[in-house]
Amino acid sequence: MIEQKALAYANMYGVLGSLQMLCEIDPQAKQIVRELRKPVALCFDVKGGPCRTFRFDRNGCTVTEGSAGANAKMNFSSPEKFNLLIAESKPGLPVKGAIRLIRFLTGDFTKLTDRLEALLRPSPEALRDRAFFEQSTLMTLYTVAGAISGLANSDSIAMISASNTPDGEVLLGIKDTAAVTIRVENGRFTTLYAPTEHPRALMEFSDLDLAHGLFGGEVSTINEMCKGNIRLAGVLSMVDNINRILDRVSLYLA
Amino acid sequence: MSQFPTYTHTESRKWFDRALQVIPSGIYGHLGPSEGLFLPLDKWPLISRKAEGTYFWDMDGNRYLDMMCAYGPNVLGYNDPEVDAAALAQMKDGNCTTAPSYKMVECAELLVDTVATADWAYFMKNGTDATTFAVMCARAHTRKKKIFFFKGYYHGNDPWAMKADYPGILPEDVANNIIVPWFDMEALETAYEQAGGDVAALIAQPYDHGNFYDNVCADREKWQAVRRFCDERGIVLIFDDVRTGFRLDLAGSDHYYGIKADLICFCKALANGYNMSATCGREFLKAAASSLSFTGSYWMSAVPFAAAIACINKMKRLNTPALFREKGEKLTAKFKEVAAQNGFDLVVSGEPALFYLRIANDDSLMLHQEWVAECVSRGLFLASHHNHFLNAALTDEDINYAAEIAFDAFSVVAKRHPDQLITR
Repeated sequence: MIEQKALAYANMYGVLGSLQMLCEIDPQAKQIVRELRKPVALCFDVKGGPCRTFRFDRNGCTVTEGSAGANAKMNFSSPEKFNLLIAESKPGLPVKGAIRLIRFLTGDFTKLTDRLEALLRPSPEALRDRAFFEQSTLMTLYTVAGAISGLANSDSIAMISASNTPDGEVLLGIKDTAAVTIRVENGRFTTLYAPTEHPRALMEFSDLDLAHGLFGGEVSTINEMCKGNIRLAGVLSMVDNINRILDRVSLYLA
Repeated sequence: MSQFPTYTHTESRKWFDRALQVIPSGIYGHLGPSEGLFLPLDKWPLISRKAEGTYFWDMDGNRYLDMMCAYGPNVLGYNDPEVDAAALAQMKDGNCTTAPSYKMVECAELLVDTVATADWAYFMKNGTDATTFAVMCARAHTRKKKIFFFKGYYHGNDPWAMKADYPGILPEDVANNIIVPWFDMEALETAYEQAGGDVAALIAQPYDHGNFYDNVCADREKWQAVRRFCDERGIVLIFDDVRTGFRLDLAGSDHYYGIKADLICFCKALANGYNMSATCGREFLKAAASSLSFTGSYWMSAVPFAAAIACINKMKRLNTPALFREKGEKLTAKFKEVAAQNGFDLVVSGEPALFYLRIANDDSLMLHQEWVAECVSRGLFLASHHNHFLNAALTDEDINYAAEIAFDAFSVVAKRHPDQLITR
């Protein structure tokens, strides 16, 4: 069962959270932010849910917790309302800085989220382009990684897995391509979009094609582990629990 | 230079690939690569051809000194001649019959004579059957719902014994499970009050022998406090002796800790590999046990009963708990010694009969997994995440051989990680 509050966290930390990586690795997104006239710090504040501020400037996108430093703010009266925004890809109206920033919301921000959607929900035709395929897979990795922490801290089932995960940092990656870190502290998860130098556990997919197949549910994780295509090491009770949360991610972001 | 050549697994791998085509995961569960943590996969034998004593051989003919004993069932040695002779003789007389064999009665009588708390015995096939039966029995007797567990519990694979975040498990399946820290009497009292006294049973293994962390032995005082707590509140105390049974104490691990459990579950060491399990209980629970609708097609087969009788009698004759303590202490002392010689701090925990190992040079278990993989690929079968098991066929010569392979594997890992070694 999907819980609306947990879905809001998955959307905030997974889908929107990946905007920072989109602006870092995608040429189109880079171009959009490079042409920004002024920095924009947009806060999404969900009542009874997450609150984060996304700062866009010519260098890219950074995300901070809470609303400090925001010059535009969108309040949502419930997680359901916020989830509707993500589902329908409509930016809505800001409650703070409305006139000044409406152009950004309906223009550049929409372009960014459209690009994100194209990469996260790719058409079979688009995936035939290898460069697009690779970018799509990478963005999926970053989205999934963010959603793992979002759900670990909010979904009632994922929180069980989180509470059973020993402290430390887990490296999730695609061999020779990309890696993220899941930091665990007293059952609270944080996603860092860079590899940790001191992993207590690691799970590494052999290549992008395998990662794409796993994210899309086309191949079995256990089967690939048994074939040796997924490298595992370290305190694997951490990976076990993260895999259980991954199962929840696929339910929430299917 | 490594003294022991590393094995190759060409034929075993072929069989495993065949298995992958027709069996989910190829080998599912604790004997397979996923739960068994075969890291990296190519170091592990995967599929076996034969076994004898304390060794098994894979499909490539590689021999393994086995410290996992099929995760417990091998207690006397693979193909123990006495147990096998009893089983084969029974096979000729009959096995799965409409009227159960008299061997069932003999087996129950032997368990009642052997296990301190047993006034009766009920038979099934796996550890999970035994624990599920015990929990049902407690609920039938008390007419209460909740079950207390100690943190990190494992009592088999039925839905009630799992956790809500496991695939296929519903929150409703585990809604009556209450988890408390090991031997935390205050937490038990609080949990009991919060449950409004609606607690049927407390189920626990004799001590905390969980995976991925040092095992923590119990003591008599702690168990006596838990026994008192249960007695004062009418809670049924269930000992899950599936893993430890007959390795700590032939009269039951509750007896080892100076108490009497109300129900005690056995499986692994019961029949030296012949498939059966049993729950034994006290007289006051016999009526509840009789009332349960709980049976299976093969649960009264006679061959395993004959094997169990031979196995229990031989364990008594050998005094296997004392034997395992002596061998476990000897083996782990040697492991620690060769670890130190190579710059490793090897932590040994748990009871010697079921020792758990961990290299403490790093906090990620990665060095430990590397060492275990090097041991396995040289013919010493260990597990990197789980307690080990001893069998009575293990000789002092085998222990020395194990130490030689362990030394060799340590030296290989040491050369790869000179910066992580402890210098004295």
